[in-house]
Amino acid sequence: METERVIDNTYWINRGSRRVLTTINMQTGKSVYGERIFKINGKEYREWIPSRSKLAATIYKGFKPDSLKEGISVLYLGASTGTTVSHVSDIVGKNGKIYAVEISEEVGVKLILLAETRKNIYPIIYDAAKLEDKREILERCDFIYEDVAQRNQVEIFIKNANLFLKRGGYGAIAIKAKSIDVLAKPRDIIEKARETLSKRFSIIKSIDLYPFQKDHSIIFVKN
Amino acid sequence: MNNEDFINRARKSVKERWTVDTIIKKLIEMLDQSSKAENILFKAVYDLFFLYYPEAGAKLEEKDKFMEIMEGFSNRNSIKDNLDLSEDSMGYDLDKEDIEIIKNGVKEIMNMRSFKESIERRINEIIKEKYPNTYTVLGGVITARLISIAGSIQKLAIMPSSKIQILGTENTVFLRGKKTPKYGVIFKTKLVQSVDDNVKGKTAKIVAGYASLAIKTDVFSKEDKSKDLLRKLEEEVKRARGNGKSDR
Ligand SMILES: C[S@@+](CC[C@H](N)C(=O)[O-])C[C@H]1O[C@@H](n2cnc3c(N)ncnc32)[C@H](O)[C@@H]1O
Repeated sequence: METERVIDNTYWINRGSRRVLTTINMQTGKSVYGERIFKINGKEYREWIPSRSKLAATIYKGFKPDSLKEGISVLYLGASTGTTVSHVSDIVGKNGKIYAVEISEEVGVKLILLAETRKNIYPIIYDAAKLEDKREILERCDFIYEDVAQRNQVEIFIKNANLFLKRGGYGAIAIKAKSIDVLAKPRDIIEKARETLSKRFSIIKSIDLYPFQKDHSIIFVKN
Repeated sequence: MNNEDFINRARKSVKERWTVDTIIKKLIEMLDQSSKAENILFKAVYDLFFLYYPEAGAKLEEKDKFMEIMEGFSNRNSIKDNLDLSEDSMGYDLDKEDIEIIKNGVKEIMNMRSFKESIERRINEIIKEKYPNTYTVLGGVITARLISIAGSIQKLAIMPSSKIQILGTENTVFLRGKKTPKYGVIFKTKLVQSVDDNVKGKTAKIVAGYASLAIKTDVFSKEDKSKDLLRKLEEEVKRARGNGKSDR
């Protein structure tokens, strides 16, 4: 099997006619959510499934999020059980950091258990809309990722960028069209989010994640 | 702070934030899954039984009836009189080992039923203790269902009663201009079920109004006003019933 680098610690593996996105497994021998592990030339590659992770879907759609680099700090809002967080953890590596924020204690439990095995994950069980309360333990980061599926997701993103994103830092926000307004057309919602974001950031690209994720887009910005 | 400090804090906040609503949701889920399991098992046991004694099977399609008769089942002879049938059957003459499987299956369904009852009892106990006003208006299981759908009792407490009234309808996406459906969880309360069809909608509205009041009382003032609530609710339903009748 051949590999082809995408971004730091992230590779396509060519398996015959198909290619599979993977990240280099930081925690050898362990699969996090049932994903396959491939061993090639003594290295372990963990499958990064586009239907399970919007960031993986982004790459499948042809965008390279190369502002995600080894060694950077990431503020991750809406970490859930840590599916995507685990891959970002592989990407930033042992010198990087992910502050993983999740509001629900129920899914937060799994996130904490994951952080216990991956030292670069810093779990915070708290409302991402109120992170000013956590200013003492947080710092300005190189990257902010948000996937909270909330009505006010864009406002939460901007607020946190103001508080915790370095100047010149990057960000990405997953927009679930249906969470903002069930009645409006998904395309209009994305357009509106884009417009609001463009007043505050420079927009790098917005990507529709169909067919991997329905009614979802992801917008990449630069501070 | 390092990763360990974050983990310790996070563990602590998880530990502190659990609420009784989490258990309520899990119990309701368990109740619903058990019902599904019971139905699946019933279907499979019934199918094997039908092969053996189709004449009886045709009369026992209804689960409760099947279970009632099958309590005393050991072969065709054991139930034929109860069903007014002859022992002569066109069914497959199963070996006694296969009949044993039918009997064990029936036992499993009975176990599942008493398991479900124990879950229901526990749900009622919890709701009665934690949310006495709502318990009085809606009963334990319906209250638990509403909590499960809304996410928490706090979320219910800030919901308009018109929304509470329709919680649990198949599709909770309400489109502008469309008539809102009336058949939510509230519709399954004893009170709504007990009135004539023509006043069910109205009664559901009344019950939802009192439910909303009871929920707010349980969340905000925490006083037990259940007697008062129940009296007023019943009076109002009575009036609605009366009006409904004269309408006809
Ligand atoms: C779509 S899921 C995230 C999936 C995750 N990003 C992944 O790809 O593995 C959204 C998550 O955001 C969380 N969430 C919603 N609102 C939040 C808030 N205000 N603060 C923090 N987390 C929130 C939800 O509990 C849920 O776990």
